[in-house]
Amino acid sequence: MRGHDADRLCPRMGAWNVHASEELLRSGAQSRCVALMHAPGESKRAPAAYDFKSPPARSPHGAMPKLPATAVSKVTPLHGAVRMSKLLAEPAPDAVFWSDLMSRVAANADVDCFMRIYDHFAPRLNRYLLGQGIAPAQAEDLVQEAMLRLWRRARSFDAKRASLGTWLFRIARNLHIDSLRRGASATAWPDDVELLHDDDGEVGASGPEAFTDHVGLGRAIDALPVGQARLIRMSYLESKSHSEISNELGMPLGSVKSTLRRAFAKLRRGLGGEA
Amino acid sequence: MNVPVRHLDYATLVGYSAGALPVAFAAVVASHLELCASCRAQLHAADAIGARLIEQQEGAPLSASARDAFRARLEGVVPAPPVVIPEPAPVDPDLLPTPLRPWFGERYSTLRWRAVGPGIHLLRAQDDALGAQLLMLRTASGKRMPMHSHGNNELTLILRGAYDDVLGHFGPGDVADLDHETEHQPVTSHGVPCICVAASDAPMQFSGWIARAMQSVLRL
Repeated sequence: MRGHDADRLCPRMGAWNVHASEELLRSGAQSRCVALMHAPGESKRAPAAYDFKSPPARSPHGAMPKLPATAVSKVTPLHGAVRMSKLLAEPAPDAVFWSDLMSRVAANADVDCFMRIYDHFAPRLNRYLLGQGIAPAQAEDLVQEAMLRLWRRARSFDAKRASLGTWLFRIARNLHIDSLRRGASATAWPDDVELLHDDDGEVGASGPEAFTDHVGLGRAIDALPVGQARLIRMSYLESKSHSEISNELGMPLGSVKSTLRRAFAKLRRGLGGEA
Repeated sequence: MNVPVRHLDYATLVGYSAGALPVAFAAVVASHLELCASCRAQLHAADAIGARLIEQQEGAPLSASARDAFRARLEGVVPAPPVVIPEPAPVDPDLLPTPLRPWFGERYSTLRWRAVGPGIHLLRAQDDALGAQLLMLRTASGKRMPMHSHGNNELTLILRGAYDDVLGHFGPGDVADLDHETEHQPVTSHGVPCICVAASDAPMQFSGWIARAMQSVLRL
């Protein structure tokens, strides 16, 4: 395979490895594809051959959809796994990768592609919902429901407006809130699709979800002072209200709020927006 | 730390994004978001933060049969056509913000206000699921409200009219995101009556015995 073929299959590789030799570039490109095609928990069956005559919509960063099954058969899985861990050390391409998969799901109702999304996100949503204090059986039901909603609405996904992870978080959060209020008044939270299609002016390509910003957000989370990180986690991962945090930590309510404010401002800067 | 005046406090945004606000507060937040593009952009960032935190965690495995069961469910379901969000209809000034309608109804013109004092009308949402007080208040123009502070948190959204207090001038769409540190005495502007919706997680505390007597009658 010539170098430009590898680029065509996994175009982002070029951008990551500008200084790498062509040799490295090629093997890296191939092995990433192999490794991702055999994500943990997934059957080893190769996905259906990719149809170049009617490619799915281009993703916003301009990458071509990729991964014809035949192109990867020459690479040994072991080699691929080693490469993979290095390549995935960089979080940003993940958002791009997921949006590529979603484009293929949207274009072809590709179940194999969708199951890769499932294998990555379903256990994480499960952890999130268990952290909200839900019983395991109910958490699992909500995970399945959230993933099914994602599948149903796959064609409404627009990577320019939100990452797949953000959209799934909204779906899971809204389902969780609705489950708490079963039969009570309608939700005060807008539907996730409405959120996804919010004004172009505010959430465009330069908006907070521009892909490169996710690297910055990850770093900003890691760099939070312990106290701020703790309150941010209690808020998001345990849904603790400001008053509950205040009671639990014996911390004045005003301090809880000012700590969260500072943390949010830092993370917002990490995302690339002002705060 | 500069707190945005007339917009949502960042701590409130984080709580809303995390699903950690009492429903009464969430309803007021959602009503403001309907009117305020800059807070919507901030919420987008807050949601991205939540998503990142969840993705950073290690997953908890689902039960052994979950994956196959899910795959089987997919086979029978076709993804729906892309959702088309309709162009926003011309704003009907009589309509309440969507998030408030479950509790107060659709239209200002059909609200059944209860007089609670000279020039002051009140509507209280009745719903145990709210987790805090949610009320609408209509105050005649040019009126001075009793001096008060707040037990814990109070979030007020101005829907019509305007008022002034120590924090400045508040007009339609503005929120006042206050805690117990703020004591204020809003004075409504001349012109139309001021209509607000407020969520509060503890009774207001009035200074002065007349106001306190009024409070015991009104259960404010």
